[in-house]
Amino acid sequence: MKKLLKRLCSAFGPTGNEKRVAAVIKDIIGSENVFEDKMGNIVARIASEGKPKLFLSAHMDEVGFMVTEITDSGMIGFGAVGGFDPIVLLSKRVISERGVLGAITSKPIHLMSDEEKKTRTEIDDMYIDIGARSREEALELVSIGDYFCFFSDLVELGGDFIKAKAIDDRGGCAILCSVYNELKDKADRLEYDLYFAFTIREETGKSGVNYISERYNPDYAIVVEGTTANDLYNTPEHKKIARTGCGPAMSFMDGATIYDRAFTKEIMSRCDKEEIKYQIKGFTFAGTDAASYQRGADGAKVAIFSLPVRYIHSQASVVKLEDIESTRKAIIASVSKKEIK
Amino acid sequence: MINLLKRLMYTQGVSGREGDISKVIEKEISPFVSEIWNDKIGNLIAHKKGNGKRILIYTNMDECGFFVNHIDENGLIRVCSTRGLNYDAAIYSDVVSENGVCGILIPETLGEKPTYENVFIDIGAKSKKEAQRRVSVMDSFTCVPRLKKLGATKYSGRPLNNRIGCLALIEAIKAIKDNENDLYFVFTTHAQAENYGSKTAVYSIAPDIIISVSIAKRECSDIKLGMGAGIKIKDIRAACSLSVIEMLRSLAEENKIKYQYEADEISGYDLSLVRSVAHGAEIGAISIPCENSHTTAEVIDIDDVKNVIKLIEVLK
Repeated sequence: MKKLLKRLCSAFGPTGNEKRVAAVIKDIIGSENVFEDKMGNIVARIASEGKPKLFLSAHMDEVGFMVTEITDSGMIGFGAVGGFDPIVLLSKRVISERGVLGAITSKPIHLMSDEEKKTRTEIDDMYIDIGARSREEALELVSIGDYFCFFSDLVELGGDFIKAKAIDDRGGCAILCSVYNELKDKADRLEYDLYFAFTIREETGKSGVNYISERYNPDYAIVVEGTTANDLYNTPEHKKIARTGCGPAMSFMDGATIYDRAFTKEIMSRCDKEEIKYQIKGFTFAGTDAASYQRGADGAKVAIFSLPVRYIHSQASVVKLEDIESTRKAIIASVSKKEIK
Repeated sequence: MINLLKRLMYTQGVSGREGDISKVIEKEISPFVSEIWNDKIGNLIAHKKGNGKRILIYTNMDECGFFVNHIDENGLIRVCSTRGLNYDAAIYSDVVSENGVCGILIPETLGEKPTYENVFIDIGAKSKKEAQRRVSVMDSFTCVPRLKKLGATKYSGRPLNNRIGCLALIEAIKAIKDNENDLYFVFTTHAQAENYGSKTAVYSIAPDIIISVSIAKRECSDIKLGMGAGIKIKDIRAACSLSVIEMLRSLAEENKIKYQYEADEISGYDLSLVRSVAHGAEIGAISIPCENSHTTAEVIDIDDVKNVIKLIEVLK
């Protein structure tokens, strides 16, 4: 699993430019019964005709940056692709789709006025420094519209934790790849006609999954996502959202979806029976791909497994390997026939 | 009719938890329709077969409410809520869970504007353990239902929005005879969560004409209680099809049904969403004037409701 995570998290794939992630996934799961649509979503199937259609879904894209401006001095202005807290960007290393390395900069503190020191630096005031000395030199390496993403290795921390970029949602992709490879020859053990969707463009408007849900019209969908783990500092208990080491978080409601209670409870009872850890996620205003499945075409019953990720949407997202393993087991328990252990 | 209304209002059905209210409605209408079923997201769909135009008439059966989000050490309950929940109106109200546990909605500190972040439900539990014996995370709560007669023809209470729409549609289904059209009646779910119940139902039935039945907020248009059934012209995101507006107007005049036009200048989300999957079907809406919507003191006039029932009954 660590190897899978390393390959997937290292792949370059900001929203709208997921091709390299797709290539890695196809390499891991093979090409048999795997289909790539014209938008770039990948759908794999473990077919069992006549059973209800269940989609397991993870998104391939990560938050990143797009070049919007190149200054006369050769600095690269950029816009955010996906949601960021600007504070996580300063001094971070980034890499472009063409492999150009850079660092995110802004006015250094000793040049700031007292007024500027009191306010947060916004993305509009930040630039990527690629070491170019002029606009002409920069244009040889970078064009307007090029993508950048974080340049950050996967490393193991202590206590069963790993740090990487893009754990939201390559963690989900890695789990689905692993489940697919484990189950692909075992269709007779499954309760569903099982599909695996690796979707594009979740971080900016979910257009990938909207297409998938309208086109395939599943009966059930389980989304596998990254979520904020607020389990540090003095966060009050009810605002922790999700805690690391407690298994995947299942939601009853978020800002866009009221999850199907019977389906969610059925999954919980299977996890209880097999002693697989899970937790119930606290309410947040954010939405997930589950919203698109629930209301796409003539609707679907939806549930979610969210991986608790600390410092999500930063170059140093941190996840506990045990939670990834619990999520993998929980998915297998959810889709396997009841009588099979 | 008022007894049935009371039964509909006293059956809890927060968005995503419409199982009980769906059963009550199903029992009322199943003798009057050819087939009836719940779809994947809980919409109750009833079909009265016919050879004419395929007409879909829908109204939502869910209501605003709270969900238990967390239980604190001291036994107080933290909540989140569906859309449309008016915390200013709900604070200090009696609340009741789907399992009948009673409580009160109280603010964490005095003087702050109440939101989901700073209110509790107090069920009188002395500890977390005691609270956990009576409620679970995910359970729904609503302000307690109530229905009071107000003067000669008005009624006040909650959740009139939108059980009054359910009542109108149920009574119309019972009254419709010899209608040659292919009629689908849908009691939708998730209206207080972006209205997607109606969207998925329209998608799967693919009707020629779509008519929504719902309350019209008096605060959002010139509509007045007691002045008859509302024929919707527009809301803030969608304009109704002229053909449907004209059909409803002429039916009302032919049948001497009291009506008024409604043009909502402030709210409305549902019709535009439905239109996005309607494949060009004509869309219109019949509305029941309502005051103080989304509070515990919603007011309707039962004479308006009777006009709405009559107008649905004569649809062709």
